Amino acid sequence: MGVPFTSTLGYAGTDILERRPDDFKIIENPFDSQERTVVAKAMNPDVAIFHGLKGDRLGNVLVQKHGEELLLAQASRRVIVTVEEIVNSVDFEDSDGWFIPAIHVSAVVHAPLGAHPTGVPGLYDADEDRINEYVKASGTDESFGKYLNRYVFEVGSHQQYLELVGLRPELEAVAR
Amino acid sequence: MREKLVSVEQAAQIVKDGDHIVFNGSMDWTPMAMLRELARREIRGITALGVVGGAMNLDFLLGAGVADQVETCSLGFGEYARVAPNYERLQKQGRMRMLDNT
Repeated sequence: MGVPFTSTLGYAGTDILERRPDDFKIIENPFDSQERTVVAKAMNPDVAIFHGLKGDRLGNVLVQKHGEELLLAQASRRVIVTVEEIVNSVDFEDSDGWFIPAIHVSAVVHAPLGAHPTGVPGLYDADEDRINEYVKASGTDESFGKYLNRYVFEVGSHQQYLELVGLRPELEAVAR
Repeated sequence: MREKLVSVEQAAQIVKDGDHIVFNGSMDWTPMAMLRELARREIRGITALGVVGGAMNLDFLLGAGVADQVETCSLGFGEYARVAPNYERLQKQGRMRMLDNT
């Protein structure tokens, strides 16, 4: 995006202005000296990371509809998009999702079922058992450490992760 | 035109210790394959931003020790938990920083 700040009057009257004086300020409206408004400093993220539907080798991608991805990609210095499928060319008129042009994308990664254990609406459901297992493990450092060993550190790659969690046939079928 | 198709491992090299990383706010579409690789590479000191809101994306990075600060307007966990569970534990123990931009 490249804008240094944005006007966001909704913060007026909240204590966020007092607690975060470096990020939010009340300024005079440059177009009307009778009015004051709240401005928020731009975030300028170093990296944006998304999971999307399709990508091509040049970096064009198709992501979920109605999301914030394009805005976040424009605002970020580097952008990584993992996708379910690599195609010859992503068509910007493809109605399966919303298009982000390659100029806003640094890296495209083929990661089928890459959102697991969360879901991708239309392609595969969330894996409720695995998410409940995550929640249960999150109770202590020790139990979450065991979870990480099992699903992250003892697994060398995304492919090995998919083998570990044993894809259900219907998942594989829908995800192509 | 530059070839941008890379492996999970190559893409992870784009992320450096201390970076601010932004995610979308959904429990669906979480880029977990990429996040597991960041944990494997032991990236540290990340500030994770959730727009709008956060879920497993921010919670996983906190639980794996990759992120020590998050900024978002809410940190839920779909229908699975009232509050993102690693966030809840680490916040109550004062081991991380949360910036509220409700």
